[in-house]
Amino acid sequence: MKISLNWIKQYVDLPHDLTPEDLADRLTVSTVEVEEVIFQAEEYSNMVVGEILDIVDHPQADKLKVLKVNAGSENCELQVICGATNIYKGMKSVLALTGARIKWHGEGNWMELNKTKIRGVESEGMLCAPEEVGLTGEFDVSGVIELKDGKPGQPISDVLGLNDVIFEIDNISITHRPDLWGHYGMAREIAALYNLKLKDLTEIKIKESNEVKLEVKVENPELCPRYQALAIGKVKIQPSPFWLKQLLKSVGVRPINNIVDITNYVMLKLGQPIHAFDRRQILNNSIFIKTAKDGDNFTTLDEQERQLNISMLMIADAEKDLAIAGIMGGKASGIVDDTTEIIIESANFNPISVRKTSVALGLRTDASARFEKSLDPCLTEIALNTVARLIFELNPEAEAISKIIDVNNTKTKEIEIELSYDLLFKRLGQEIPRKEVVQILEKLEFKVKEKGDILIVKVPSFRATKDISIPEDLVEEVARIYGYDNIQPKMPLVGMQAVGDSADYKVIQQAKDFLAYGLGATEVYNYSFVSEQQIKLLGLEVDHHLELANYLTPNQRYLRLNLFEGLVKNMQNNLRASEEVNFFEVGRIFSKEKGEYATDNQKKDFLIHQPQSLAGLMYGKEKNIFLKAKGLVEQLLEYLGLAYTYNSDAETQQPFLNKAMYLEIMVGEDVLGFISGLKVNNSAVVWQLNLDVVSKYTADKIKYQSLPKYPGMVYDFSIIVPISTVWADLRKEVMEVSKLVKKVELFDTYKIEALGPDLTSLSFHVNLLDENKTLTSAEGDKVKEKIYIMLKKKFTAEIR
Amino acid sequence: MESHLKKLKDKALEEIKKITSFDELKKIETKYLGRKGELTEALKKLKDLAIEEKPKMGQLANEIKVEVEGFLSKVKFELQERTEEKASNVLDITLPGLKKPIGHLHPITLVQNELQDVFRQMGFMVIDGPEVESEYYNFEVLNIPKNHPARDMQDTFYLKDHDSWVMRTHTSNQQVRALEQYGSPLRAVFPGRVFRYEATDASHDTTFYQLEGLMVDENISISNLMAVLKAMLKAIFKRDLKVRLRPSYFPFVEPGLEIDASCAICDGNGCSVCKQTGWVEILGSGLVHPRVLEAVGLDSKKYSGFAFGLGLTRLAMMKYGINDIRLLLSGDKRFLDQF
Repeated sequence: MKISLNWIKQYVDLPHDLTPEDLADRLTVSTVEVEEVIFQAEEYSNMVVGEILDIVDHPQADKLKVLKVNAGSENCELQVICGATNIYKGMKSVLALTGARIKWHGEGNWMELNKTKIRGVESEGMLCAPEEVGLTGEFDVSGVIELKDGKPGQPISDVLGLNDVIFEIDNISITHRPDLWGHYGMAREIAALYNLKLKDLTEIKIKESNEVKLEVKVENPELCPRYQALAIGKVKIQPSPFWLKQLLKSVGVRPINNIVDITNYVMLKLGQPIHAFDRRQILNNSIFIKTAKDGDNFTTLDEQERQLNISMLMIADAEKDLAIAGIMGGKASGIVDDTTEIIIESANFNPISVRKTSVALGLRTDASARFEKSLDPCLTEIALNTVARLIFELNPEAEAISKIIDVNNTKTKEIEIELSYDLLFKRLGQEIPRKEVVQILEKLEFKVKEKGDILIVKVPSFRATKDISIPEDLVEEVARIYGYDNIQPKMPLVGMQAVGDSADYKVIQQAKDFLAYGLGATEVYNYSFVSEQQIKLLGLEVDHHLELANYLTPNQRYLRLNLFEGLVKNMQNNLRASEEVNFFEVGRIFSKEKGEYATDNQKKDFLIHQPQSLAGLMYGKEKNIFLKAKGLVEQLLEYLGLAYTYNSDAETQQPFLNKAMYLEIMVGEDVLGFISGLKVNNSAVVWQLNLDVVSKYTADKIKYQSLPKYPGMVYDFSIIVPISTVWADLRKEVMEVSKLVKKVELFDTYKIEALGPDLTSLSFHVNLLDENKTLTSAEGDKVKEKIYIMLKKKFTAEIR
Repeated sequence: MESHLKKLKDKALEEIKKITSFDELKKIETKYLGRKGELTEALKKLKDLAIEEKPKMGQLANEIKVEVEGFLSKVKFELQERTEEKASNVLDITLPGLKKPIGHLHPITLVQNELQDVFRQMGFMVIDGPEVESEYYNFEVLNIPKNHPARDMQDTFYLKDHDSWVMRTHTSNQQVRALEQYGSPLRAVFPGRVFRYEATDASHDTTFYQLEGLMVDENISISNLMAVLKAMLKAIFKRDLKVRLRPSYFPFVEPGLEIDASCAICDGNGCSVCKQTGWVEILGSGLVHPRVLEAVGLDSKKYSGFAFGLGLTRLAMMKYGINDIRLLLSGDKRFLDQF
């Protein structure tokens, strides 16, 4: 929202030494966020009145002229190229000089004007059309602007009175403050901040009349707590006076005609939206406030046809709809050039109803934005009075032709809050002078009675709609005006305690660190949402996935069932630039089963199961990629202290996993996870660990074992076995040959061409150790021999 | 004995001086210090000495052994240096070092870890929570009633077939869950991903990360909130930044505050990052609304608390100068490998 400083100054006399920047800063830290301070004069810097002294044809272009322009004593005479047809010798116009901010032909972005050559002739400035300098409201000409006033060289901002300062307010920072949606409310706040006097609003006595029998029937009082209306006759529709147009334009509102401008002005002053109907369009002068019929169509002022439904509140007569309550009027009943009699509406509508309708229609207006904030129902009265006063001022002939109708169903209940100094000071964290507390509240127009240590505070109607209702709300009022800057930071005093965490938290952090910095894997984050394509690529069923009711794009429509839906896509996307991928991800996955989080404090219903999952994908052209991935998982599990085993008999139901290369990881009786080949791509291996199982078993399992007192021996074996030999079995048998065998470690496997396809070669170390004495080579050789015999017998091994 | 030892020493040192190759070095080493070396043999004989002579002779013998060994090492190093001079002509030591492949943590993980560490040092626990959330915990119990603008379809993802479930729109959903579980006093942070129904561009995404903090105890004040947040900012930015509190509105706090810090890029002088204001919005915060406390049965006259929520995604983008939010969830290795 834009706030004009000139406008504010009408209601409060600001100190002379207060700069706009300082005011903006103070408002920001105490009231609302001022996003930008715009000095109008700066927008028109380097723009002066220029007088055309001479016009000659451009030597190279038929449609262009070369002008001599008097730019005042400082800038002398300049040569300017111009293509407009409305120029003549002696004409005064807006001359943009080097550095001026202009928009070429009124299109595109603002840019800075430079000296330039046009078709070979230098142009030292530019005569401007209204749209090129943001003055379309001011001048309605085709061609360059013609100025009646001003001397050559005089700044344009001077001549046009463009000396306002505009505050751009962040609307989000005033969602809870309906009273700040107009200049008068903002002036009230400024008056409180600087302890200034706020000027009273001017009210007039309206001479009511019986000429027109205006009737208002509110069918849904809960949606329209208050409706005021007044008919005014002998109105002449014409452009507004300069001051009114100027104020509206300064805050970005386009002037239209005196009546529409007055309604906008009152809204921008008081925050109360006003609507004016052409009386001729209202059947029998009877207005009904009622909900629309499902499926009816209605054409709004902006000439859009809108489809209505039964929840939308309308202003209507006996036959037809006239306006969408609180949002926008209809095309048919608006003010037109020959309107002479109008009906003014100043009403209060239900904020929720207005917002719902506005959202449903996709139509947000200045009016709906204000009604949504819960406006003060007392405001309709003063707003109606102000509208009437201004109409009478601008149309001396005009007069009220009806009574003031006031259908008032508001149950005004004054809010009274008890605020104890004790609570106030405890919440602030420090004491402040009691006198100052009372003063702050009173400046904000609260009525305060002090009863010992307690303040009895009456809330003014414009703060009472939803903003202020409990003592804590008053704490905020005092704190922000007193100034957060004046509160001393103090660390809380607490009982010392060791920190506990979610069970998962530490495991996740350890696993991430080790995967990245110990095992060379890279962490990736994927969306929780996946596409149908991602699901189908893995051969999974769309039906098994939770779905968003209002998905934004088909790419993000379903909730991921596992992390591979993202990881496989990551692999494919990266293969163009990388030969290898070693990714892992930690994130929540979503199933359709009920989980452990309750939906509310009754703890009877539960959200779906959405555990943290840890998974990875390794891709590479090497043949042993599976073993690389397996090694990574094993080292991670060892690091986390898990005594895992494998269950190679387990089968997977997952359609995207390669059944022949699926290895289930167990700990105790629980399935810890798996490592598996991927059907989508033979060079990829995926793995997954269930973090709840990891957390359950991870513990300090490391136990020191005394160092061997006697040296052991190492024997190397190199054997040829059938290709079908399972290493895990062979290793187990070797271990069982003798108690002296402590470790069996594979160090090489290779195929020897000459042996044919059915045989392979294995090389491994066997470590022998006797805890009680130094092993002799005779004893070692004996074990070695036993191993050879076993290998020949059980594995048809040949010694190489 | 004494003179024998001294003679032995002089002889050994003399011979060591003459060494010119590793072979000679090895020979001399064995001659004196080997298992049957002259010095070793001499030391063995110490045990035959009279008890009163033993300590003195023992010490002398030891000194001689240390000296001979030391001199041998010195000669050895000299020999090595001479040969290494030749070797350095073979190995170009400016070649890149041989490295083991190191992976990368995601930039948001890095920032999250850093913040978690700060808060753990101040005694805050780290708690995680559900991403598919009920309207009750995401809105209702946070004083965001039905028909509040924050509940609009345009902001919130709803789940099909589960009318009252949403993708959590903020990590504030954890406030009441944590209070229900742990009660007061409580100090906790809740990091995690949150979701908004929002068209995607360089600075907006459907998915981003927040870190919520909550402290509830007797008499927690605005002044406490300021002190804790200042400590946090100092830990993140490694220096004292100016902090500005200004009023703001969030339904689940009262008073509600927005916290700005002086722009770390331009030191508050105005730049494009802070839009020339000198201030950068860091987080939203406030004192926990009495209705939130009462929802978990805490007496809001006795207990109070503060809560704050900061954007991890924004912080990570600021810290690493990432100019497009969409990179974070792109899974692009070229991006991830930079962290």
